[in-house]
Amino acid sequence: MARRLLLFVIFMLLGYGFWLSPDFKEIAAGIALFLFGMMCLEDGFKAFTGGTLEILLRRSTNRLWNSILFGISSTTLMQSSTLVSLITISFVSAEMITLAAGIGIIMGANLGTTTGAWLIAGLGLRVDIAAYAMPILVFGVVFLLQKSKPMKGIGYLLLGIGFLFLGIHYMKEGFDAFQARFDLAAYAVSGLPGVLLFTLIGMAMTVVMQSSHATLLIIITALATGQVSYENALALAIGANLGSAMTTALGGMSSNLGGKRLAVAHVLFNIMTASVAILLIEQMIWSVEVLSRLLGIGDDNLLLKLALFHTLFNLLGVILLAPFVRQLETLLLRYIKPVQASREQPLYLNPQTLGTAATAVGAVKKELARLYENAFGLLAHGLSLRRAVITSEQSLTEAVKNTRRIMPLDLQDVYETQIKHLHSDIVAYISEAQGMELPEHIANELYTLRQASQDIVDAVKGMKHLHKNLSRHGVSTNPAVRERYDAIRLQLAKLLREIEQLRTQEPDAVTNLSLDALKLSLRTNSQANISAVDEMIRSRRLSPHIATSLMNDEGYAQWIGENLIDAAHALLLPENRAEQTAEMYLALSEQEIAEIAQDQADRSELASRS
Amino acid sequence: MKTKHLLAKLNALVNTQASIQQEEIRSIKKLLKKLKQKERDLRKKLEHHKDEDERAEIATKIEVIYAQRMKGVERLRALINEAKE
Repeated sequence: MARRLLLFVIFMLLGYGFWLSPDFKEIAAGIALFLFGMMCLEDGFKAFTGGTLEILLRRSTNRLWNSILFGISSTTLMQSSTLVSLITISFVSAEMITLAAGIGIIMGANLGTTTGAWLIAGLGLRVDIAAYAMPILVFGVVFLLQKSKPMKGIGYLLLGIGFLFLGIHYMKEGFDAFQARFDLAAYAVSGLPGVLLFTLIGMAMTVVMQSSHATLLIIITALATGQVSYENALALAIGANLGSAMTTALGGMSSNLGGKRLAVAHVLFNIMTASVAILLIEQMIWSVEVLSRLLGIGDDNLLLKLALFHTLFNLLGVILLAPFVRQLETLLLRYIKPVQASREQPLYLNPQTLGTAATAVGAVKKELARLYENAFGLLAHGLSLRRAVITSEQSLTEAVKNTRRIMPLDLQDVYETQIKHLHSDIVAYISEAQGMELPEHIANELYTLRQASQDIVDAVKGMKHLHKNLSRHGVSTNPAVRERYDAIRLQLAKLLREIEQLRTQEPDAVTNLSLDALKLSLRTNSQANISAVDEMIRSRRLSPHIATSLMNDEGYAQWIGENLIDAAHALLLPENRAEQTAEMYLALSEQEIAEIAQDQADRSELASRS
Repeated sequence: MKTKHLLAKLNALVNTQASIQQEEIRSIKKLLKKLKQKERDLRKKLEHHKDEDERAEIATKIEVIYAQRMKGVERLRALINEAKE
């Protein structure tokens, strides 16, 4: 509601401004074109990244200086600290990089964004930029009309650059004309009140426009036409920095815990940087003068001095905070704690993790692991075994044999609350992600993960059926019946234990191929169980009535086992595509597993005869 | 030998198909190494376990790994021959 009200106010103010002054129209149009150009640039980079940026991000963040450097270079290239910050929030939300690495990238992004000021001040206002913009726009549209995705990407990049240039041109023209009619410099406020006031104005402008680059453009253009004093322009630049932190904070607040922590870190960093810059503004102005002389920047070149000031105070912030990143991370981890998350609510499936294909897949995998954990607990309960017993080294044979009662379980209720809810959220999220333009292998991976979620649900449904007879006959006084149901319970308990051991091992030590042995064991155990039931019918130890129930239940156990193994397959999938392909080639087919099972059966028969 | 290796790397750089193949060869080799180690560990375990059921399970795992390794070696040979062509 507040958002709509703000939008209405902005429209009213804009309308009034347009009616009042044609020059304001030109300035506003310039800003709009500039912002549109930035959006096109973002789209252009997204078309190209398709994994490259994410791969670089993951590899570049093992050390703090690597993270900072990554932040600087990616922001300089893309000219958007917001995009880099939001991608970083996605990665931290999905727990694909650490919070410390995320803080490093944010610091680097702050520094990288200062290159925009240099570009605009050094180049944008000196040349007839519109003359370059027009052909760039034409080429951009031609590329955009192509079918190929990289071509469209190039088109967006060119359009972005073209609109940026056009935006700068119109703003320059607008301010030039504005200057003749209205002298804003008469409203300059000096001293500390001026610094604080214009910092707030800069922050407000950035929050409204959602772009510190656009704010810097306005500041530089206004300074170039003398509409704002040098000291007030410096304060506006400080405010622009604060405003960009607010933008990221808004993005992070709707994120999960990791994203929130990073958003808080960003705000703290920018507040600290701004506070130091305001407190030491005189000293910073003096430093700018000294450095300007060293760099050959003319005394009257206020634009480049502004750009230098912008770089200096961000650099100061990085230098001050860099030694304390670990401590900041510890504090954030300690004080921004999770609200006790319920097992049925998703932890990772938030809009921020949809930011990139890699984070979307990462988020789904983590949520799938949580769904599996929920199902594990339910299945263990269904087998009347404690989870701790299954995950320990205790003898499962003894645990099954010593069971005195089958635990009651309202499976339907637990299924609705702990499984179906989360499964539905996973499916909805994957559908949302599939709506993005994804590389084929990512789309396939998401499909596999959705199927795995369904497999987990199917395993639980299988337990629903199995538990009906388990609760009736699981601790039967008939030793033959008890023996068979114990065998079913033991088979599934062993499977759960094996899968859990594979899941908790180091990714490098384990492969999906370990599941082939589980498939083989499931098959041979199932055959052995059916044979045993046959033998018991022949020897009258079991009535046909109970035997058919046992065979049905053996079928449910097999169904549960197969679904668990299929789900585990997705959970243990390696991240590297080449490794996925390699595993696919080495994995045994159903026929090969059947052949090994047959060989084993033949050897066993030979051994029993001899 | 070094020149051959360098030429192969250069080929992989410019030729996407070749680079995908090289990546797959590397992955299969890595996987075969893991499997070999796993097989060794399981054979050691087999020597120490007395329980019949446990021994049968370990033997099953060894059999499966052996079959996977044979498949892997075959696939590796095929890829290397393809790469040579």
